[in-house]
Amino acid sequence: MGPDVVETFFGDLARRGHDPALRRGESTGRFDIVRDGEVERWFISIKEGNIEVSRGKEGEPDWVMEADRGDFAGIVSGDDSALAARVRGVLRVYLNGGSQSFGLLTKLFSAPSKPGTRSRARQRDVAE
Amino acid sequence: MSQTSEPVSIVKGNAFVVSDASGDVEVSPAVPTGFFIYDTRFLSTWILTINDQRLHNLSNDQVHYNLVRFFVVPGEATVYVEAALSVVRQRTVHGGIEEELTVFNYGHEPASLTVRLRAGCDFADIFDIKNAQTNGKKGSLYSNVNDDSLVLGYTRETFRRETLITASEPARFDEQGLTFTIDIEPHSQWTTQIKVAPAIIMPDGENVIHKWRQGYRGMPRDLDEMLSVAPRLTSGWDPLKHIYHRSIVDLAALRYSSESGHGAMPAAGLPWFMSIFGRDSILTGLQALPFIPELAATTLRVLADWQGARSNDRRDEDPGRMPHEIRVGESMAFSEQPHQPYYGTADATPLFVVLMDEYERWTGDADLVRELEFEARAALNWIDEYADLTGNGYISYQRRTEQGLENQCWKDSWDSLSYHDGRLPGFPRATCECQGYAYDAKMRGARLARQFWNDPAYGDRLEREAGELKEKFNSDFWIADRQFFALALDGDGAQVDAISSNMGHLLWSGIADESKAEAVVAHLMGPKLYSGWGIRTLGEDEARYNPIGYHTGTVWPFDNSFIAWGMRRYGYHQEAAQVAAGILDAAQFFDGRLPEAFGGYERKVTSLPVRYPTACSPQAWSSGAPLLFLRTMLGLEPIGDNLIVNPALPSGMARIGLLDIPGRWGRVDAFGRERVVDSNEALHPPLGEMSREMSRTDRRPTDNMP
Repeated sequence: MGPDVVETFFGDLARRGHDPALRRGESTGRFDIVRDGEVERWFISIKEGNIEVSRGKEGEPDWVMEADRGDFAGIVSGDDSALAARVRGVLRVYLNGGSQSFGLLTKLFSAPSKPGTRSRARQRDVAE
Repeated sequence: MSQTSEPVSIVKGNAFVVSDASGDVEVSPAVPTGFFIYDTRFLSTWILTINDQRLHNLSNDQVHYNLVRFFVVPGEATVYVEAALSVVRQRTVHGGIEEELTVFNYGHEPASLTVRLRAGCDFADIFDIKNAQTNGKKGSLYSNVNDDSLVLGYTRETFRRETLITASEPARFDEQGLTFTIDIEPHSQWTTQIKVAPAIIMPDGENVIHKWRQGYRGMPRDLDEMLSVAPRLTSGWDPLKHIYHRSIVDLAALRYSSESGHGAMPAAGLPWFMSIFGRDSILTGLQALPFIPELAATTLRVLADWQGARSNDRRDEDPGRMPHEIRVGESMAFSEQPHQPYYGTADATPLFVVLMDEYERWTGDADLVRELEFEARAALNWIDEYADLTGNGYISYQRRTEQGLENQCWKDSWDSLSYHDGRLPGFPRATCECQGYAYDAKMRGARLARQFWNDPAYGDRLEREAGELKEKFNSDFWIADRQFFALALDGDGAQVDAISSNMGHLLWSGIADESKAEAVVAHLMGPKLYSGWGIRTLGEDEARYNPIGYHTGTVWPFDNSFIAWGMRRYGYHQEAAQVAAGILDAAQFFDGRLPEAFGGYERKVTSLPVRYPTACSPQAWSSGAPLLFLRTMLGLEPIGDNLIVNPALPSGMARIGLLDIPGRWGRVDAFGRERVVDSNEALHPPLGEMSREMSRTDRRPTDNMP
């Protein structure tokens, strides 16, 4: 819980590098993570499915998502749904111009499955 | 109190208003009356009185799918004496309600009136109403009275929704509504505009509903525009034109636009399913391809956006799986419902690939097929890697959350699958039609891989797998001694042996062996399944058969439209025409608007299709059914850059002309004349003629039937 989950998330996102599921989500964005009144800003660039994460960039991004750190930790851990958090008002989402898809951007919260991941049944078969 | 006649609904996308015939709304625990948007009721009480008297309805005029006029007069219908006062309530729904209230004084004296609108809101979640939950709201209701407005509100933690009520004429607002004190001269009138605006309030106080709705801005507002781009229909059977028009209008009304700017896709159905449903959107997109192809394109993009990316038991999510249902109400927000999105559907994922291929075949839009290559491959991968829960090579399902659906096929009610003796099978369940969809997805995926993804090896693999699946399926699911396909395999791989409409879908997907088709079609058109109006969901001699059981005996128009399409694929033109004739005949009894389902009673017994009590209407895939029947009757098939027309019309249809069919060929016309396709089921004459004929001959309409 707490700082590790959030920092781990952005670290993993940076290491994800290429995610074909985000190929259609070409954009620049920013996560504003709020704790004790302080705002941590994480800048995201998605180009041809390649994700870059950085701190302290300037400029107007295509989208911004803002949440308290605890709420954000719930989303990135999968305990909470980004859509549910948005509907409750704990995840604030700003999309510029209406060309961004929130559904597509929620894929940032989900690392792609590793190639060759097998279904439960097959895993069971192997285990048995 | 005065809800003696049918409720009146107006709709636009996911916003709708259901009132009584006089325009009033009174909260009802189990009936979804009121104004709804984003799965939330924003107005549950809306009652007009003049000098403390309720008004009653003289007539309504549903001018447009989102505009209705109520002509009402003070007093109860039973004591009505030529009143000098009359009222027109003109109501429009879009993102909110605009109501124009006009009071006419046709008397010889001035009228001093107190016009009041009682207003209230319970902010019920649509699921509270659907599940008739009466345990009250977990948050708190409030109201703010201002000089020029009334705000009704609801808050639960950070979740806050409000309804703002304002009027163009001076009014006195109080916690329960607004009052106008007016004088109207003889032969004069008084008008005010009342606005009811919903608000989705963020913790910082910002109302974001306009941002949520920004996708609607790019949508063609005008129905005329939509009607003008859809093909024009001519027919020798008059009711068809009305049914067709109604279908297009209802699909226009149900257009749902997300904020992403992808365009419009159909919401599934009023009142319960005014949201994105994977299966419903895909099947409606397929039905509407020759008419409104952009519904398919939007559906593909929106579902791709929400495609599952990881395994999450709370939402039955897996990588590549397409969403079943997406909601944005309170119950979902607080995880009391799983639609965040919810992924418990066994068929939407293969059907996504089917729609993509069929869309390209019609439109030639190769760009979209390339754009969504990753998502299509992920969907195909899901079939093999995540959907095969027992390792026997079939798509099967078993929910991983108590909140999820027990049955994840289109018949998604709890008792829809049973053995002949009525027992319910164990999990995981593998329904037959899902295997058909998997076969079709692989065959179509193979074409896409070779033609657009530059991956012939993948194409070969998919085709080989499809062939293996077909061979195995025709052995494992075929009940040889009764000559039909099992409804499903149970958790032990044993056949679930009830006879059902599901096997009809094996024809449109193409998985059924040619040699078995004749027996399948004979069963579908036989007395156990065919009612005379349509093919029942479950056979009449099954233990769980009930002609008004949701999935256990009713007739579903969309189901029949796909079965008829499949019959054509296997060369059973006459039977396809017969199924089309039965359902189109039934449509006449619903004023051209096919409901979600109707009773499975024998046509010879009831002489009219019996209403299913809580059927959704309009429902997208029911509105789409006449469109697919048109395609089937005309035998429309895109081959390369040409549209093949091979009509087979039911008796009584005489001719069909469909002009300006859009597609990769530009626009072409298709004509069909009744040939000697001697369907057993002749179309009824139009209802008006039928009643004239009845009065002449005093014959029951069923006497016309063979």
